[in-house]
Amino acid sequence: MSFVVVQFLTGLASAASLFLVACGLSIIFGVTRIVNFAHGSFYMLGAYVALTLAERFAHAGAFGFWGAVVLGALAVGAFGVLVEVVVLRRIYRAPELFQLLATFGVVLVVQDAALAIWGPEDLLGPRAPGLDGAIDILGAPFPEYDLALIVIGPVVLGVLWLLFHRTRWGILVRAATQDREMVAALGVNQRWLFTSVFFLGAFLAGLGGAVQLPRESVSLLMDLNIIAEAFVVVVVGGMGSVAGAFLAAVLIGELNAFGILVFPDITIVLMFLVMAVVLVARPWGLLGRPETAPPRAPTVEPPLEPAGPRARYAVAAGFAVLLALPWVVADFTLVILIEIFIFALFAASLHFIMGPGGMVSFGHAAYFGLGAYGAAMLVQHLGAGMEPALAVAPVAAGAGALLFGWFCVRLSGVYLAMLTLAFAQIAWSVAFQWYDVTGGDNGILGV
Amino acid sequence: MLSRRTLLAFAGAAMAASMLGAAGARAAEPIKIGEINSYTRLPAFTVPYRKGWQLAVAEINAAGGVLGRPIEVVSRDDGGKPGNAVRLADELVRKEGVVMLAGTFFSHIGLAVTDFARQNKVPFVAAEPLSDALTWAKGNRYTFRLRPSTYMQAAMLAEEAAKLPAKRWATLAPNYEYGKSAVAAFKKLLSARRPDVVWVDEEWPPLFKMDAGATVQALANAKPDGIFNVTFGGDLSKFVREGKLRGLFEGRAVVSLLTGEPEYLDPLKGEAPEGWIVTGYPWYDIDTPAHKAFVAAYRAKYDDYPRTGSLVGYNTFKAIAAALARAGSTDREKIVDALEGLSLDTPVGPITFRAIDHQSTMGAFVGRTALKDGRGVMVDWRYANGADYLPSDAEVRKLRPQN
Repeated sequence: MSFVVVQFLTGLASAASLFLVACGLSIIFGVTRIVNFAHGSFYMLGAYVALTLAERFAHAGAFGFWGAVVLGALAVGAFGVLVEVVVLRRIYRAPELFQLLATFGVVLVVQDAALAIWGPEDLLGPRAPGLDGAIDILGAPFPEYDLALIVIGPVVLGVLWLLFHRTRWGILVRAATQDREMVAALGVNQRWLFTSVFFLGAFLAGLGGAVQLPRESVSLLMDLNIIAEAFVVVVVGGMGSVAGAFLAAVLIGELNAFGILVFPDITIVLMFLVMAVVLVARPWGLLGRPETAPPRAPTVEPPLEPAGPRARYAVAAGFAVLLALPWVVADFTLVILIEIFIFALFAASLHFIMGPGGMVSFGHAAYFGLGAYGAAMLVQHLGAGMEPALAVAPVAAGAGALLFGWFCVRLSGVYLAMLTLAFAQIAWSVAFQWYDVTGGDNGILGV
Repeated sequence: MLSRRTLLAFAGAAMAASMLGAAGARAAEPIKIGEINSYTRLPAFTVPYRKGWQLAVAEINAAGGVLGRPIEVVSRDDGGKPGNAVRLADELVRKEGVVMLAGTFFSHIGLAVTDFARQNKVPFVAAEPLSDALTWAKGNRYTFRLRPSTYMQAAMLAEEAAKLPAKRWATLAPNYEYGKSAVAAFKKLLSARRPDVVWVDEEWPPLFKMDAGATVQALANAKPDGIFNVTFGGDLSKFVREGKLRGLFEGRAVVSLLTGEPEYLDPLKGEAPEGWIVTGYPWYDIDTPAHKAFVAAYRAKYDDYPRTGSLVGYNTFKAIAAALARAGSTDREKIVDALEGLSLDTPVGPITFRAIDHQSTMGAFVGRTALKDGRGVMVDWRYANGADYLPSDAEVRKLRPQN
């Protein structure tokens, strides 16, 4: 019995960390409609800065530690403002994908900066003074710091609720979440609003990272590890809803804590399964609301037109040149050209679904993988030749798309994108775990 | 007045001189060796590893190179992805024209390059990947491995574990090839020595994404007497912290793979666990003349102490140089033949690349962890020779495809 209680509390502690990261992302998305891929980087920066400060204030005891945590979060908030002013302000009107790419660019910059400043090794942070022991809960030891986290989570939730419901700024934020155009029409300074929201979001992410110091070593992998989880929590909870983020974090934290007891291999995919189930049942997340007005006029892609005679001649000439190449160029150039055309094919297919098709898909790589695995498994398990394998590949990918698509097309916008991501991750983890059929993480060698 | 004879004599002399000059230039043309590793994914290991092989190459070239030519290493970063590693291997072989390949760290990447080596008939000296499959289940003529495999190290640890009174054992390993290989080997070897052992729990956290609290709790709930740990890097730090907090290690034996290596033990600083039975590299205590010379040379060049990676990188390229010298040419088949049965001296003693499975007999240091001056160290250690911890030739022939 004590074990169940302790495991439940452990799940709550993980949920608190998840919530801190995810609520900032939810707030940013709710107001600015920007999918902030750099959120994981804010988390990582918060951990690194807090680590440096905590080591400097090591003599100041508990005051030093918590001071380092808060200062670290504030520093990250300031950095978030910098990112917003320098990068994002210029691209608010751009299509969603460009914004995502811009924030991804920030991720890369932060990665290199962190590597340059703190070095490549994992750094173990200090423990929280006064909270570095374990207390007895029903006979089992439970870390004191985890209890502190369990308290911090709801406290932050409460503070945010007060902020949003009792201050003028909060009212503006909630209004902007509901209807941005109207808020602008009523004369509110949107720029200032967005910047302050970004500050809050980045601050919360930095706080989430800083608070991890006693539990995890700080490494350069932190940003990519956390961003997927943060997105899942935000989407499951409903984008723009802080209470939803909290609920989703608790759900996922508890499922993770108990899931590994029942089915240890499930940790890789559990949260994506949960996301898929939730989105199919409640398309806008647990506490999300359907978007009342489209955020901006969607960029209309012109439909594909058949090519004119000159274009056809050009393509035929290009084709003839390509056919002649294997006899003319060096081996390695051929390999590069093959890779170029594979990527070009993939890019064309992605453009087709996102442009003329109008559906943003984050999980497109799954079909690339399905095609590859389909061909490879045919060769390995059935001894087929190259031509049948090449023919089977698109069929395998298409079948997968039919299955996933049935669920996904019922949604739209960013929820559609996240559900495609969820299915892609599920497909990935099945391939990763199913050692006998797909070769597990080694893959199928020797095709 | 230049007569025709004088003119011809001059022309002949000039031609001879230019030919000699050209021959001299060709003789100094470097031998290119391709090197692939996960530099950005696990820098704690790969940065010292690179320093190690750079030291080895500098020493080799200072002594005149191999076959009268200097060694040039073309190094690439696979970013921790097997697909990248294969693509880079292709680039190195086709575009850079390397003679052979070396390196890799993660076992699944090592396996991918092993397969590439087989398909393209390129000698590949795998430095660090530990999975048994590299030399056994998926072994081939062109792949050789330097470090002691998971089987060998599990055998060393199982030997120690069998002496303990612990009967109920739990395992904790990252959920990929290396973890699976290590746990399978340890279970088989410990159960063979101690049939009374019961396996009460297995935890398989994803690599570098372990939920330490829940995992430690699950382990504690199974009430094992002994724990076999395969996690490393960030996972190990989390495991040590959460485990100590929740009292997981009290009254329990812990047997841990690779934890005694400085790249995994040093980041723990004062929180390093005590009394764990580990394999590792106590560089500070080894006082053979060869090892002292290695440490001195490394310190002189880098102003830093060597890690396990440094030793691995150093040995890998010394082995490659020895193989090239023994082969007498850069022909790939001759290099493979030269590597089979190759013996050389290393800072930790002589090693041989066995002809039967291409596994080198490099061993590991087995000992216990302890805290000294606020840092984790290995004490009561001994060097376990790799050759003593391999199965019989008959068994190896069954495990390895004979082609």
